[in-house]
Amino acid sequence: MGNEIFLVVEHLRGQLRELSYTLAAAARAASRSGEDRVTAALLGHGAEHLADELDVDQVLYVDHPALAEFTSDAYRPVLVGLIEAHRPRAVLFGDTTIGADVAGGISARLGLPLVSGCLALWQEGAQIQYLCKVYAGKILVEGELPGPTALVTMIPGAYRPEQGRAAHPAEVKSVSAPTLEKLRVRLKGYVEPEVGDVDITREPILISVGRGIQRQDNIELAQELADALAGAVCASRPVVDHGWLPTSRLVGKSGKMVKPKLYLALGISGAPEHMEGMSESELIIGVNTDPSAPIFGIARFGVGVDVLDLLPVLSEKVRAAKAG
Amino acid sequence: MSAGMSRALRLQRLEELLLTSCDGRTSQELASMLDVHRTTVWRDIAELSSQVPVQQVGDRYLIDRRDYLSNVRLNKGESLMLYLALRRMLRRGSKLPPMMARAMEKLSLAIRHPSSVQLAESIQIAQREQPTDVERAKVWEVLLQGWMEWITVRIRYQGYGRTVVEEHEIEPYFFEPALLTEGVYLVGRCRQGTGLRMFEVERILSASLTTRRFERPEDIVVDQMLKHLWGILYGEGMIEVRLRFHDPVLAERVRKTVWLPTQEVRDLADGGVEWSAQVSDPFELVPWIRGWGPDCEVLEPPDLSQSITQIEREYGGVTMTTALHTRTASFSQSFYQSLLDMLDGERIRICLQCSSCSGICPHGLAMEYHPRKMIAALRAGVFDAVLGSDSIWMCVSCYACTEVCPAKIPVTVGLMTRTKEEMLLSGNVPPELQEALERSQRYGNPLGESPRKRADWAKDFKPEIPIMARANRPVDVLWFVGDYASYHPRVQHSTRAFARILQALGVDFGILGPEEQSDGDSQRMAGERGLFEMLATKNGQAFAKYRFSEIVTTDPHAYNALSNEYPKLGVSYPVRHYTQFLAERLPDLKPQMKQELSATVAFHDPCYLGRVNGVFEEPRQLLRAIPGVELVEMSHYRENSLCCGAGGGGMWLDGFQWEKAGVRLSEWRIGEAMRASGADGASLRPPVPAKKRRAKAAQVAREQERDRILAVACPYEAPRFEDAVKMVPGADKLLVKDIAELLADCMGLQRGEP
Amino acid sequence: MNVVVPVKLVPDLVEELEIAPSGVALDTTFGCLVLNEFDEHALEQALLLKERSGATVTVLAAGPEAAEEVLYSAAAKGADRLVRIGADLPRPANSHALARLFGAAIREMAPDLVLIGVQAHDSLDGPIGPMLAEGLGMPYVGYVSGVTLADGCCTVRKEYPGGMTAEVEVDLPAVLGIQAAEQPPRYVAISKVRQAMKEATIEQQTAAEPDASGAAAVSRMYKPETGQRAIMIEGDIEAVASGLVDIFREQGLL
Repeated sequence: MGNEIFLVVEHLRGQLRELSYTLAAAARAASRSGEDRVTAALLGHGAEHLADELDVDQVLYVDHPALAEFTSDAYRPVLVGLIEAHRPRAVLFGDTTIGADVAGGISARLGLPLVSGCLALWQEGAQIQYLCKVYAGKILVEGELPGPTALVTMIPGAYRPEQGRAAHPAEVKSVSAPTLEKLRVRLKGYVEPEVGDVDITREPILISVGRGIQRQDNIELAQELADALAGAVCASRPVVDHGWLPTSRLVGKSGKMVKPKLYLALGISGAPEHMEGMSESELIIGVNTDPSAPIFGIARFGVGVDVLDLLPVLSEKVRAAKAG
Repeated sequence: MSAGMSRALRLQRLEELLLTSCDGRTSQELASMLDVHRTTVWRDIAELSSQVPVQQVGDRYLIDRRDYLSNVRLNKGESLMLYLALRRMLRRGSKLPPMMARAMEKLSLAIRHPSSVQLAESIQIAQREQPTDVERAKVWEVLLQGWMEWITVRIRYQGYGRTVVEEHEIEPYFFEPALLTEGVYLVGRCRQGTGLRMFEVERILSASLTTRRFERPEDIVVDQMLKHLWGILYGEGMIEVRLRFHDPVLAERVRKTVWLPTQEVRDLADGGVEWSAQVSDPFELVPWIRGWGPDCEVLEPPDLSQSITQIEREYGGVTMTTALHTRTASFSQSFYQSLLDMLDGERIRICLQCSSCSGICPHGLAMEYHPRKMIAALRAGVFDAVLGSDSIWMCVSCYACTEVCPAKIPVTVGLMTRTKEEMLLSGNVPPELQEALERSQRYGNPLGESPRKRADWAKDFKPEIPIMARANRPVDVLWFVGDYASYHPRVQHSTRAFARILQALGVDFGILGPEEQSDGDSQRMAGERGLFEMLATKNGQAFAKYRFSEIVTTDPHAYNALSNEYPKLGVSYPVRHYTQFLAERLPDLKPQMKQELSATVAFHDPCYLGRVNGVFEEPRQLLRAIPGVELVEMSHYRENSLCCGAGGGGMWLDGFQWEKAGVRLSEWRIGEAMRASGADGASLRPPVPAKKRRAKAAQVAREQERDRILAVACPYEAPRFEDAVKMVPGADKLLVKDIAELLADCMGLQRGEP
Repeated sequence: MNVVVPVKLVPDLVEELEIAPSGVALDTTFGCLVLNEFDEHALEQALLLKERSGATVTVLAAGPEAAEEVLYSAAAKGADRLVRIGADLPRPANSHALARLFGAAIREMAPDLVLIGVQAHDSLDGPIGPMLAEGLGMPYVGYVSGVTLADGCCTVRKEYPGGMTAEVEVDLPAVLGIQAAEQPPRYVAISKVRQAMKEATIEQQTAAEPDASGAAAVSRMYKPETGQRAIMIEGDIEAVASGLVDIFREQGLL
């Protein structure tokens, strides 16, 4: 009897989140094909076909009005019930504002070990191995996923979503929901980010600024380069926290996922939350005076000079190259 | 512009129009722009031509800018004096009569110096904020005409604090700035009586010319007349004003200064003094009396005393001892008291409100509450307003204010730093600075670098640089390196240069390396006394572990802290700045100075080495000793050196200060350096007749080969000035070098990485 | 309104991190510990709530001596009560252990609201917040960047990707995982901290060593290989800029 690998599907406002495909790909990586079974746990309301393109062997669908949108208080008891009933080998969550809100609680409740921030899973012998990032990506950790059931939160972008897509939908099995009443967490509504601004997810060239830009008025230098390259300026968390750029320009876990042709990371160290948002970019170039900055771990090219020194010279050369 | 605009204003407008057109304007254009007839324009142009060089080209009129200002030539010292005088006037005048503003503008442009442009601009800004007062302009026009052409004028005048409006006919003799306040007085003979009378121009409501001319007295000796004047009241006799100053320190000041020529000063038993004088109009003294704050008590006349009490009541809280109200303990009071408790702090009581501090403050114009105003607010009991503003963070603790204060008030340390301390205590601190302070606390340096890497700059040195903890032996010299010198890539060049010099001299030295903490002086001046004490204590503990004869430091801020502040905490060692140390060893250095450096060098006196600690000569001795170096001085040098903007937290407030001031002090200074060193290419410019061209070309070639260098001796400066060089147009020829680097170069010590 | 802020110290990333000889843990002799950045935000948010609604703020720390400095600093910023748990215990092995340690102490305090940093960079076995909430029987909402108190409940701003946020109502008592406070953590002058050291008291609470189960075993801990790293373009600014332009051209980006 093979293992069952669960994954907890994430959706938002009726749309499946790309992370769900990543989880599917991860689940496949952790399973032995033919022997193990990958099961998607889909919680929602009128959402049974949401997981149709997910590469899983079956979908356990729990329908309840209270599950229409994610709240930790509604999801947790449902997942607890499913896990207790099925006792899977592993349960994969997203390391996200959805998955991370519930994984820990379930771990505490059921006494199941939790591994967080996972980059990869694979089979070795009869065991599943994990690889995780800690200390903002400066250290990597490997180990064996403890049995009989372990919970894992996967970093978005750990696997390419394409790897988790299936041509044909898997069988959807309805599971009745437990009583969900007196829920202590209630979603009132979503608030869109500021509109009328550049949609950085659509820009092919992104010039991204981080702490290394040092001051708000230096962002102008980055804008000049963006103008020269016909791209747009985006940012990592510290810049947005300071209010130097609006949240619509934030790239990362709490911001946007971008996949431009060129992602130029200026003065960005490469915290995992940020890298999540841009690791799929076609060409990543990092500019940072710290040679050990994690950004250089995913960038194809790197430059060790000071951002503020480089920008004016680079803008000049780009303009010249385009003209001549 | 329409009817009602006085001629004076129209002439001014005409001048502006002619100045601002490159190709000139026709009389028709001018007529329509000024809304007058062409004949009026011709008359005006004729009038204007007597004052400014109006040219006519065809049917167009214009003013050639090159001729416009050509009549005043000032040398550097004269420029500075004029500049300071203008700054002082600007600071004092809250309302500039339009003509004064124009005059100041023109004069400021006569100072051939980039900062004069900023001065002219600020005058324009100050002027722009007040709409042109047509009534005032008319009054001035009449008075001026009467004065120049000896015509009696009729005026309507309302004295200070009076409701009745008097009418007078006067013969205007001369104008005089008010003795104690900001106004201007017209002095003339009143026709309705005998003798001279003074009228504050601002309080002349209206004026008109009569048809009578008067005979000008043969000798108008202004000073003599004024002496009498202050004591003579037209027709009503004198009024005695009596004041009592209780405080002995103030009393001293009052005793020693002649405020009014007719004053009498009587000592009191309690150490105070009683001051009395006969004046024509006691109410003229109100602003001056209020400037003394609560320490001045008005004894006579009673209505003056009541008036002052009334005003104080309006300000709330601060009262005089004779008043009916008791003192309220507002924050201003306790803060004021805390200042008085500082060393020399009581001197703040004798502030004259002369505005020298605000005038010389490099950022004074960009501060909502500049130093003089801060003291005024303190006395008026409204200091909370100062703490509510963030202008204190413009202070770069350069000590210029302390240097010029005639009352010797410790403005920088006593007022500015204490205010910053209050701001920090209430959490009111710009984020850049907050980060630097938090990093200093956590990592022992404001850059946030790992303390373990503090000596990494010395890693590959051969011979090895002894780190005290490892070397474990006594040394002659403990070299206190400092934060930026240890971590900042640009400054590390200077650090390595100095290390090589020490090795070349065979000096037995060592460094603390990772045990060294920031000296803490800039953090102290930025208001973090607690942090300073923490860092000083740690450094003291490190010093105590080792044996050495003296400390030498490459950092003037560390020099200041170690010499003047650390001993107060019980950490006391002989300390010298590296320029002093090396100057002493010139006989050993000179034989090693084999390489000639063909350079014109201007030395920037660091605030904390020069102005604060009086070390001016040694750096210059070192520079003069370098063969091939021509040492020049910038317009601001020695005690008058212009701060680079990094002190008092300024190094970590660059964005904030730049946004408020619009210009960086370091960029300002680069302009001076360019001029002084010839990096602006001025010596290469003048056109040359054919005969002299070859000689000139040779000279030009020689000149071009010379390096133009701004020499520095403080670790903040090299990066700051190099950044400024990038920002100032045409500054690319100017090099910025630490004295250590220049010495190392001329000693042929290894360049680049060891 | 009783707000509790449990905080923890984590290794400072400014220092080089070294692996212990065992190969499965960090070498703790190197480096220093700092307050977890997100816990700093949680504290700031608690202080803001105190300023707005007059809540009392209790700060809780467990672990090595550096915790005391953090507590005094919190007091200087305005925290009302300082508690240190298990001063004599070894450093809690993982998040699960710390969550249990905090849970036992917090249960006694019967708070209305617990604010904790949403994550920390040393939590291989997950963030503490959700586990703590489960142990206390309270609801949990994480990635919170704004909190408004009401009667018996609070409304929080929960961050979602794409710059979107959700308005979520949570019944009190609750545990909130703070992503960012509504304003950056305030500065506290050292003199104030020193004053707090003299005036404030830290309550010491004893505790039993907590159960550390719930984490996975580590078989190997290492630094990422430099082989995977970017190709560095060398040279001065001019050379580098030219190199970049060449790359842009090759990629058809010009």
